[in-house]
Amino acid sequence: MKETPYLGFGIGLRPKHYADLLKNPPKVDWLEIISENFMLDGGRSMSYLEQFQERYKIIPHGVSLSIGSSNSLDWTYLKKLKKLVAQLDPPWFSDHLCWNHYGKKYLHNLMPLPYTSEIIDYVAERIRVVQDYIERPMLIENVSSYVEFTGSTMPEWTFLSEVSEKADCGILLDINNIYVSAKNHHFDPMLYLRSVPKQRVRQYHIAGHDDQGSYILDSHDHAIRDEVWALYTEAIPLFGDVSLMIERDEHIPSLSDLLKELNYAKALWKNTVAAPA
Amino acid sequence: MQKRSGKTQLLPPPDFLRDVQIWMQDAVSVIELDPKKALESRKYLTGSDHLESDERLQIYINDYWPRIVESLAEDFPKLKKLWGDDFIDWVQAYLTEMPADSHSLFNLGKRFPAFLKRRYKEKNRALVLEIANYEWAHAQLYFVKNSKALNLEKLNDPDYLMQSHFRLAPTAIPLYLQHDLINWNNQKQVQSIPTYAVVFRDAQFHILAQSVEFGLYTLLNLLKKPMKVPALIEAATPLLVSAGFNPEPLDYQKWFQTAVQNGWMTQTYQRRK
Repeated sequence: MKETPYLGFGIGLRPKHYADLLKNPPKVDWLEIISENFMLDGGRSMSYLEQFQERYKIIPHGVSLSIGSSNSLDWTYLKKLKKLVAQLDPPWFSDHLCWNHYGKKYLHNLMPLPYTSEIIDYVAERIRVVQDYIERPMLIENVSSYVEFTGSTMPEWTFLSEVSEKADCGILLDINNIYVSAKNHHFDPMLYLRSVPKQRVRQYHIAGHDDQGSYILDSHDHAIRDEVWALYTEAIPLFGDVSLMIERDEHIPSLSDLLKELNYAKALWKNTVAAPA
Repeated sequence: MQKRSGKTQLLPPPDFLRDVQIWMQDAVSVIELDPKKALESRKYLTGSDHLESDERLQIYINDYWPRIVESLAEDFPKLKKLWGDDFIDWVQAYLTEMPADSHSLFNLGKRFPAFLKRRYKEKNRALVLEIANYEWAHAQLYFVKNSKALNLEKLNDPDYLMQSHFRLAPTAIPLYLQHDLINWNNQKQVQSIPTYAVVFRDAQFHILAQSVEFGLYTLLNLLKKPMKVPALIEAATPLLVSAGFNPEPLDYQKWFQTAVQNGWMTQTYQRRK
């Protein structure tokens, strides 16, 4: 896989923060956008995007590629994505290792995949095709899940690792999703972290979740919890300099509060890197 | 590597993957978990001490509707306020019959007005259908293509005016409303005031609505098909006369100016050979 630059610490670009980000541009290393919200022909979002592009490196992160779908690849979607990538010129683009539609019906949710060797081959080939077409490295993100499939023959970390190796793509490691799935499926999150190929992890997501008692919901609507910060701290020495992004999609806090979380992530990284081995 | 030409075949999807996706898609996009699907869940999903397979499936069902309802509530705020809790029932009926067929949530509401036209039979049917059309006009203008503004001064050039093909800008939608939705804020009963209106996106990307004269509304409707000014006047005049107007050349000039100033008209540019 091609080398990718270390971008530092970023946040998700959300409409609530547009005005603040333009008025007093804060020290944020980069921004991540939801690709589909900008795969448009015109309008306000596209106008804002041009303004942010002048100030920040912007990475497109998709939610609807549906790389694991049994459907054939959606070339109309890919054409729009390619246009967006050409506009932004990012070092990579990303989406999830999941499916979200079958036939013509979209669930608009990140649905997990069964983990089998056959599905590794199937998904990895599709990622290769997409990477070649977009002409940019792709990172695949682990999703949080609430189900496991009877047909699965391996753990999630093996599946993710083998897909990335066979597809020759990168990994966007969502630390919160690892925590959520570990709790929901009773596995050791550290085993997950230690098992994924170090050189392929190019970005982190960290986010908040909601404890529902009998399971953990990946809600992206809370501040990042201590247990996720702790897992992030464990990841730092394992993976080295990996670009990080704080993800918040619901109950979005003020920009200043989000930046406090970002600064906290930076401080953890500095302290961990500086600490003697 | 495989391109769209399809010369190199990609691997077919594994049978188990396809079976799981067909089953799970049907199982998740329902209002209540079907007992048959609950039983079948054991075939596809593993349970645990904490949660049985059907309880795990239920988490996805619980997650499916709020996201979709919230998205449509953003596109149809007046309908949501008018209906209150019934809004969720109508959204669920809509998406059960016409599931999301686009990768983008922006397109989720595009068939909602047509669905309501077919299904909504209540006493306030006319008002509801009108609100649905009015709000979807607003929603779709959020993401349509930008159009090139016309130069008002150029309208003084007779050659330009007579020879160019003009058309309705993609950022403008003329609507005939039987109710005063433009000034209705849901706080009081909506007035039955027939209104000719244009819902449009301005240069600062605000989505606005404005009432217009019948003459201008007629011109804009005709401009859905590109045409030159003489043809436009020829088509508009009998419509206006039959509606009781006797338009003067000055009226056309005024309507043209209003349309151009507001960015409601654009030009069809000829491709150079």
